[in-house]
Amino acid sequence: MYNKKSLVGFVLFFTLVITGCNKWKDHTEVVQQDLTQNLLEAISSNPDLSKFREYVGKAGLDSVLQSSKTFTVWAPTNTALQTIDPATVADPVKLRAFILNHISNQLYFTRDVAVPVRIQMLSGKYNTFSTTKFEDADIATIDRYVKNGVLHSIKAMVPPLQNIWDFINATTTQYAQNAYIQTLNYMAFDPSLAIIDSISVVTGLPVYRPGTGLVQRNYFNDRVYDMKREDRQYTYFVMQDANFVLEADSLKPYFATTSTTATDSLTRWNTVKDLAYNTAYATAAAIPQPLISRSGITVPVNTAFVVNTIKMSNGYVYIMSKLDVPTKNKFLTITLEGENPTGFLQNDKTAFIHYRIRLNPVTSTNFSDIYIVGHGVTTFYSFYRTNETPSIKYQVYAKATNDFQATAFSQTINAWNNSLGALTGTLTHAVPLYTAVGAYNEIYLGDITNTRFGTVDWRATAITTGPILLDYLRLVPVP
Amino acid sequence: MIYMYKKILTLSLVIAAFIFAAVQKLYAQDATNKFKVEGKVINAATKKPVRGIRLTYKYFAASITDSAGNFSITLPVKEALLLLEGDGYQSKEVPVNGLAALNIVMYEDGFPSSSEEVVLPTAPVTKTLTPYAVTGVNVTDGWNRYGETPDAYLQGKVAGLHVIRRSGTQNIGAALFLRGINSLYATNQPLIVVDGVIFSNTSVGGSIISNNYNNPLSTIDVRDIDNISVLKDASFLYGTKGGNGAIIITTIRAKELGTKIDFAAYGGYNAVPKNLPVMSAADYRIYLSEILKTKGLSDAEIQSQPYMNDDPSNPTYYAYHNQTNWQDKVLKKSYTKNIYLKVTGGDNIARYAISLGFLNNGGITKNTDLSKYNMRFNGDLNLSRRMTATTNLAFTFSEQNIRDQGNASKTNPLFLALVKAPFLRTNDVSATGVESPILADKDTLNISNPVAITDLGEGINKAYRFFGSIGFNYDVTKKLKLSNTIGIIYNKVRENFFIPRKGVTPDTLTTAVAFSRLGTQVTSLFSLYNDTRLTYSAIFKKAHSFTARAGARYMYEKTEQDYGIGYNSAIDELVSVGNGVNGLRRIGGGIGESKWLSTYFNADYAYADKYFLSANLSADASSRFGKNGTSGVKIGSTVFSLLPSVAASWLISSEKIMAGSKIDLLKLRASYGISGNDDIGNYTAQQTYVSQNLLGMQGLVRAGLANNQLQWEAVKKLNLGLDVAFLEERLQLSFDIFKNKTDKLIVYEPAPTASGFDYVVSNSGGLKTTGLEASLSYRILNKKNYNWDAGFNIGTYKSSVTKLPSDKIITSFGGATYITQVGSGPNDFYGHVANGVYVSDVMAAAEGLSIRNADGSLTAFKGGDIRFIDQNDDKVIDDNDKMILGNPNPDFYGSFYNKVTYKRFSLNAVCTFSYGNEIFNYTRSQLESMYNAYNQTDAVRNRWRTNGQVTEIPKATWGDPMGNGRFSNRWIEDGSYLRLRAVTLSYDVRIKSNFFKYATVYATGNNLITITKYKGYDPEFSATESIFGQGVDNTLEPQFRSVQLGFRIGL
Repeated sequence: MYNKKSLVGFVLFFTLVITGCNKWKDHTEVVQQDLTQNLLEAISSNPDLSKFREYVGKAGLDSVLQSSKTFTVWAPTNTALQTIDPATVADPVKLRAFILNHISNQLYFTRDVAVPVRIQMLSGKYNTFSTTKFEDADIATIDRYVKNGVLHSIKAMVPPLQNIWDFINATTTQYAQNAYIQTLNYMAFDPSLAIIDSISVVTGLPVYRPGTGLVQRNYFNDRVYDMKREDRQYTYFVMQDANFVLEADSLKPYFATTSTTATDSLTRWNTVKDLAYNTAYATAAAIPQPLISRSGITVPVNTAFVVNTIKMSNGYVYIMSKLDVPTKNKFLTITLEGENPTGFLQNDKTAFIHYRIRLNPVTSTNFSDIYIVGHGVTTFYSFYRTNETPSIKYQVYAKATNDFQATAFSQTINAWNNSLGALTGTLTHAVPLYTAVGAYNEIYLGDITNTRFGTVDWRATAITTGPILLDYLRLVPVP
Repeated sequence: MIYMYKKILTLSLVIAAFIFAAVQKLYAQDATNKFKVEGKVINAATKKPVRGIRLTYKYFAASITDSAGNFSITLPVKEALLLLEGDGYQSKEVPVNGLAALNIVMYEDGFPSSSEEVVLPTAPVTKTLTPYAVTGVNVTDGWNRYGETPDAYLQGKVAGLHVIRRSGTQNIGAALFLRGINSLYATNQPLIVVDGVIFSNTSVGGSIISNNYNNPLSTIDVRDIDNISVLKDASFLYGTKGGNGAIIITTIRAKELGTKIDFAAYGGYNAVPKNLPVMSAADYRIYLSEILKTKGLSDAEIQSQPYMNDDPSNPTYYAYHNQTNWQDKVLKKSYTKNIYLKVTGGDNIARYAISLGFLNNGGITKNTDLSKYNMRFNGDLNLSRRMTATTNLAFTFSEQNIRDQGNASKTNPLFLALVKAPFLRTNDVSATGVESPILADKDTLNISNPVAITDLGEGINKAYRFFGSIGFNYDVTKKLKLSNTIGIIYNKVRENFFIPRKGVTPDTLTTAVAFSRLGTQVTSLFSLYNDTRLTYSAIFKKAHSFTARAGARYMYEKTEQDYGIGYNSAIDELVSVGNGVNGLRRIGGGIGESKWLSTYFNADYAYADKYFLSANLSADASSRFGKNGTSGVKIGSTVFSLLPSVAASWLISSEKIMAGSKIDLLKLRASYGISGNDDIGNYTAQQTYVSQNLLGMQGLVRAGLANNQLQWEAVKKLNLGLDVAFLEERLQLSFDIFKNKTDKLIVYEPAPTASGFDYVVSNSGGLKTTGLEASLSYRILNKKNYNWDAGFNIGTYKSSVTKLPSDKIITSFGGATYITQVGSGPNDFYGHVANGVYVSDVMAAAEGLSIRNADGSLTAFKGGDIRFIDQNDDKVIDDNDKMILGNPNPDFYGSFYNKVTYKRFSLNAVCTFSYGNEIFNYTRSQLESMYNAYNQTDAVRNRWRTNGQVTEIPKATWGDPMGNGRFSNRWIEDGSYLRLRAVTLSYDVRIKSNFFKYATVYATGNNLITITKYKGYDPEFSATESIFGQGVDNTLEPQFRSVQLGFRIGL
């Protein structure tokens, strides 16, 4: 009898132990039902997002929204999707791009966007998310977190836009300016994209497979701003053809070369290089006056001539009927520091060349200069090179103060145009003694006109074997 | 203090004088009386008379029962205890109480009797006759618990002995706490005495393999033990070594002259522990992409990680798209086997007991196991009529493969298995998904491959121990005996480890990066022990027993540790330390030497087997004590401790008024005395120097401040006890209440800044532990074919610090912080209190709490952070907001057992329990803190994500700048458990052969069921010897279930 009872008790005890012993369950169980769902399930369970759900399926993105990464989805409501372009729905590629423009990696909650944040979508485009807006769309519901992400719904759709580069390439026939920019394309080699066939036993360097690693680049993107980039925002001004030609041609005198084509190309380049900015100005009113271009040129934009503003995925394009940059703005003053010479007449005189730091007793500030004495070479000079020097007249100012000998002396400043292979001007610089009045001021020496666009060497030349002394040269262009 | 000593000393001397006086008086009055007792002895189960039971009263009278169980014996006194013995029966002390007729019930051998034999520091004695709190352990079930070390085996056997197994590693044994805590920094382990010799039970220098422990007790096979007596208060005679009580182990001796051979063979299976629920690959990758974002990685950087690329044509696709259960890769089931042979026998002159054993026990971590060989030769010699001798020789060799455990985040395979990314795999894999036999290297998340540690790594521990002793007893006269025991222990442990370069995260050294790591260590221990004793014993007037002993013990111990740690061997095939880079090799070690001399005196007196008195005094000198000690007495220039104690008991059941009572035993006990703890460091009292390297110059600097007044910790022990037995001894109860007060507690006292040292070791603390323990055993059924025994024991203690030189001591271990302060417990967990998670930024802002950064600026808590309680209301969460969170000491602990015998079957089940102890779950804190790329438990799927989410799990943040995962009550868990510790079914095979005497078949299950709320592998572990470190689960190999089958035959 006793045994039976204890047997029953034992069995009961065992059952209790085996069934009731899952101490972890309470601890690890997912407490919110949402967290057992993935994004696809969350979208499916919301009747207001049924259209979006349908398009996700059509675009073949079901598996993405079920996958074990984190995503944020801004799903347009059914109402918002009523106006979708039927062509988009019909084209799976377009539809996929459209849907991907509403999904990003990572979690973005409204909590994180007190300051609006631009977020890259899976489409590659960036959209701005703030507590109330997703790009231009108002937000309907927020912050539904599920297992693999977060779901917001929005009241309008956000289709993917072109970027500025796409726009430039698409409108070459419309705009001569864009056609010109396209001519700046070139092919380049990118080793990271090339296939390595072997490592050379001789040099130890990789040997790449021919034909691989070639990429197309564009000088405009290289030297101004890269209009392909989605993670930056730009403003790009397009001049209508008449204005563009007028603007470019107005620069012709200053880019005198031996070839008309070369001059044309130079004038156009110097026109377009000041037309892109790395800030997105959403409205004409937002454009600051004046704009300073990347190359430092002051560009006054008269918003009255704005023909059209086009929103791009990476900024704005302004079509301008007229954008007149005054010619004088186009050329900048050049300062050549005496202590930074490009070179000398000959290279064996370093023992006589001194780079000094001196005190200007008038301003009580330091300045650096070059001081060459005892070189013993007739017409020894140090020269200062300017590249892409426009063909323009320069007013030449110089500063140097004789503080090392009691005797006043002079040197000559002349310009050697490399293209011409000739001197284009010579000025005499009487270096004042430090005791003289205004000895620490710069002196206007006179004008030198550069007659051919190109490289110019500005020389500080000794008279016979006399000293050379130069703080700086200042070249003020006079169009 | 000195006053106390004097008081006790005076009391002891007075008692001793009284005893002497009484004895002298009685000697004069000695007279002869005759008293005849008749009766019958019956078997308790069958109720049939028993023949051949020997009855004796000291050396005055003897008789034997006839076939009808009747006996007749003539005693010199009316009040006496008759000792009954018989083959196959228990030994039993029966009070005569002046009754002329006695009916005595005898139980079988092994019955948990109150008159069992226990071994005291003085001599073996029947438990009924001692005034001390002593528990004898019945070791008969040792035959079916073969894998256990004696310390682990003791779990649940003794009320008041809290046994915590260190981990599930083979051989690693257990931490023993007998009646709780008596010391903060000295040992709390009871003294171990084997065959009269103090058994050096320390692990010399520690192990070079993380969280391994060289357990000296593992060199004793449980089946080599005849008797274990646990002395809770009777260790007074061990002087300054007896403060934590003592465990006296007596090994096998031949009891009969006939040759007896026992052979046993076993095989077993160790099961893999249940996995902790860590996240699957999918959940982990979601978590990872979130945590990497908080690290500051951009979306593009995250997407460029190889594991984020879901394109199957990607060459690394198969390397990063898996579902690997790393725990399964590291934890492996294993098998055990064991052979054991014991031979006893001899003749009138010499008797011997020989045992041989071989054990191979697999571990649950892959590629770990233990092989052990042990042999023992014990002899008893009758050299002459007056002189006997005993010899004990034992040799054990073990070789063990182990791996790092505990806080070794780069090399602990179990920890790595928990945190390793589940989408990775163990081996390299080709772009097309073909697996290579080569193990994968450490991953892009900088986590080692745990399988590289188990498969390519090495950890070998080879341990040898020789234990030998010779004892002589010489009867000078009938009453005077001279005895001497000499014992020698030699112990050597050789360890090697190798951590491979491939697959393991490098370590950073001061001048280099450590790729592969290699190490070797040799530790040795030599101990010489001598105990010389003169014993006088006499019985006066047939009723006054008197024994006095005077003796001296000497112990010399020398330890040596030598290690070499190397780094960066050229290839992973070069695994020995010499292959490391020369410039990085570190060589070190230490030598320890100590001498201890203890002189002692003891007097035991008993009257009419009713009243028992005992007084002890020990005076110890030790090389460890400071020369200028102020306690004790000074003889010459040597300080001797003076530790007196007294004990008394009253066996009420032997009184006349109890004659014929239903109460079989009623005994009151009391003891009080001072004992000591000399584990104060070999050289702490002396000025020592250590070598130091300064910019390439070698020199000596002072190692600390010498304290030449340093002395033993003095433990004052008070014990009151009651033993009762009813119902013909079927129901037995024992109850003890105790109070231990440690004075002169060793404390690291803060030193003045000007001294240049942080602390000085001094005897400036005090600690008090009170508690009680009870045990009960009951024979529920007692029939011819079946009987059922049940028993229960429970112990509890409460410790509190009574004195400290500073207001508090903060100690850290493995991420836990302990506080020690006057009025509180000695090792309370001390940390912040978490009160859920801020639901939103608004809620956090409303409370306005912050943390203070290193530069003094404040950072406010936000939504998703843990809401810590600001105790001092200063709006800043810092150290001042810490609170006591619990402590690792149980409220109570103990065990119960059931033993059912049915004909030839026997089922024995032991359950152990611990209740109310808190655990710091370091492992879970690493698995739920969400501060790096470690895989986490499934619970973090509930992590906070945005405003409004109500959850218990905070947000995931790389590096945890707000300290959400700090040491707080989030990680403190209830460590209570109830465990079916061992269950054995055995069957005695019917033998008809003359060749075999018997055969028994066993099936044993260990740790089969554990009921606990603790969220870890197992709630039982002990990572260190120190009390600061108990209750910290730092990912040790857990206890595991095992099943063993075996048989034993007797020839």
